Amino acid sequence: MSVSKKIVLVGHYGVGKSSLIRRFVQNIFSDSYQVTIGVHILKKIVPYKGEEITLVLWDIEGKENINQSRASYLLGTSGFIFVIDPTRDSTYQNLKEELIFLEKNYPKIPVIKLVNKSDLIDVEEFKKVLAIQNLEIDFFSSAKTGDNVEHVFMQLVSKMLGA
Amino acid sequence: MIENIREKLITHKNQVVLLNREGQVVASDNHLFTLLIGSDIADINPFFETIAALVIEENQHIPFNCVIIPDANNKPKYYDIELHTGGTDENPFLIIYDFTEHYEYIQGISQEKNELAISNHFEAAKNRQLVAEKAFKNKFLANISHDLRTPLGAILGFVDLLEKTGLNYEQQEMIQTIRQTTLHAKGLIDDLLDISKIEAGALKIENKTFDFIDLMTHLEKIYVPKMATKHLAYKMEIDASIPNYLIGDKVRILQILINFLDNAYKFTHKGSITLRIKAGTVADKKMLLLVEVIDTGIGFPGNKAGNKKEIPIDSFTKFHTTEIEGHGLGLSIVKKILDLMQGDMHIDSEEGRGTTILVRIPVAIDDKVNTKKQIAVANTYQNVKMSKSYKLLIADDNEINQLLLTKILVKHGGFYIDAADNGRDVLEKVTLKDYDLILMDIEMPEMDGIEATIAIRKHPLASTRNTPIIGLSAHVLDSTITTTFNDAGMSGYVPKPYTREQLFEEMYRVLKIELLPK
Repeated sequence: MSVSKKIVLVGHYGVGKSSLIRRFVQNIFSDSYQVTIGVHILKKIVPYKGEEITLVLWDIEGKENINQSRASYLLGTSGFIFVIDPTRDSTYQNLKEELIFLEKNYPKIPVIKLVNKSDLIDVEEFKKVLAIQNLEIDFFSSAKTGDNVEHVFMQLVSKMLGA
Repeated sequence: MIENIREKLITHKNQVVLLNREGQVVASDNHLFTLLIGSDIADINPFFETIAALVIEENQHIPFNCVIIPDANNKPKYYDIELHTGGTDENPFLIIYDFTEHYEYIQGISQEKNELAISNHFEAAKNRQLVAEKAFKNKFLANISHDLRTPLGAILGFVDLLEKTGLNYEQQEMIQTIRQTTLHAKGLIDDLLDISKIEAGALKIENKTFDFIDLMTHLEKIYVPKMATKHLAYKMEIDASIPNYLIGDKVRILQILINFLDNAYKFTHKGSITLRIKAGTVADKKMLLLVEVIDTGIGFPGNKAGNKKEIPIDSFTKFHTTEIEGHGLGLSIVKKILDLMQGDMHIDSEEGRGTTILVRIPVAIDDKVNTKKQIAVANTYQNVKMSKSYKLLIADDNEINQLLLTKILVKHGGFYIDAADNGRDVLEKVTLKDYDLILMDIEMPEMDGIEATIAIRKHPLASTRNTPIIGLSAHVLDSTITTTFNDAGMSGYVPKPYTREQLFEEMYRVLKIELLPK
């Protein structure tokens, strides 16, 4: 039986959480925005160091604060991806507080901080914006172009499995 | 009956599944999902993958609301799922509720709400950017205006002086051209500033008492000689029942009237121009000034003779700003100022016969006793009674301005003049000597005119403390600036660029110098 790991994507509504999962699992993308209510779960089996890892991907309804999310959704999570939209500053204004919340309530669970929609911005310019606000980001990706999506999930797998 | 309803509408919307601690199905009523005994619950949907880990802990009740599990046709169905992990000798169980209809409704609302919030966000960001761009533009215009007004002031001042140095006819003509061109440039700068202020919502209409007859006298002084240059008859028909003291924005009313009169002057080549002002109905101390500017000029093209009719203001403005070279923004500004004053205007015109502009300007009547005065050409500086020679201190960091001001004052006569380069220099000089008046530039290095005025007003010696001070600034006169000047303790204010008449009018007022009739 393969190892199963629960990954939850968190962040504001409209940042592209569902699109990232669909791109990763089904390799598809749609420009039309479809609001997620509640939770939608998809699964993908990935190879990792000669083994098969089952990733159970929880695409939860976007909220302005994580503590507004239903606590049961986050139970048993092995890794988080915090997604922000660089075109809407409200999606990262409280990033530091949100990360503190995760650290406090889910200690030692790895979190990847991800800027989605990188196809819409000048990445180097946006890095300056983040630097001014003293915000640290792990990766830039685009669910639309598929750029870096697979890599981000595999990086999280690596972190979850402690390699 | 009730049982039938329950069976049809409730029972088949729920499912109870009994599990073992390994997450395998022990029993199920299979109302929603068909589960085989001994099968893995995770086979229904990846959601249940996490259940196996959660059933290990006993006596837990964990609700999962709004879980999306697609049906056989991949259509999303929405479920609330309760996990009861049970006690030591009990089996864990799940209760699954189908709330698809309810959550589909919620989904529609959320979709609308989130789309609106996202679109509002982008709209607000766009607006913020526009506001920032507008603020930048206005600041840029204000700075440019200041920088342009200072040299223009110097040019006009030296033109005034040069004119009185015994020039021949040809030189006089050239000096007039320089003056007209400079005044035209000044007018364009003022127009640009007004437009930017109106756009930024920064143009405020003042409501202050003003002397209506003085205003009319001022207009007469400008237009009698001006109309004479084109051999036009200039008539002023002012309703004698209009009170002397009105409340309104004198500067803007003057701007409106000057604009229409200049307009008439420009487009009239023979005949006459009439300024007619009547009093409208008075109610609750408020009245309308009913202004008509009637010319016998070229009129509006297309409106044939004998067919005098109203012209849309926008068409008229467009004609005058695009078809007539060098007209500037005047009419557009006047229309916007009138809107701010809640006044209005109409234009009747006939090609080849002339134009009548009708304007209604709301004003209020001051409570002061209104004694009638006659409109008379104002006195100029040659007609004053100087009872003594006055000690003046002029403060300006610009040497050209100092020189210009000194020459104007020397030419007038009756003043002893000292000069200071900045506010600190002024403070040193007033400590050493009492002055009758200080002419204080505002923008100076080290200590500006406002700071120096505040310091003088706090001086321990009454004779120094009470020295009259007139502020000179290239900043545009508006309520904010006049309030700043008043708060600092200035006795008067002359905007740059100024004419000799404007300077001396303010100096006479502050020094209480008596005017003699011509």
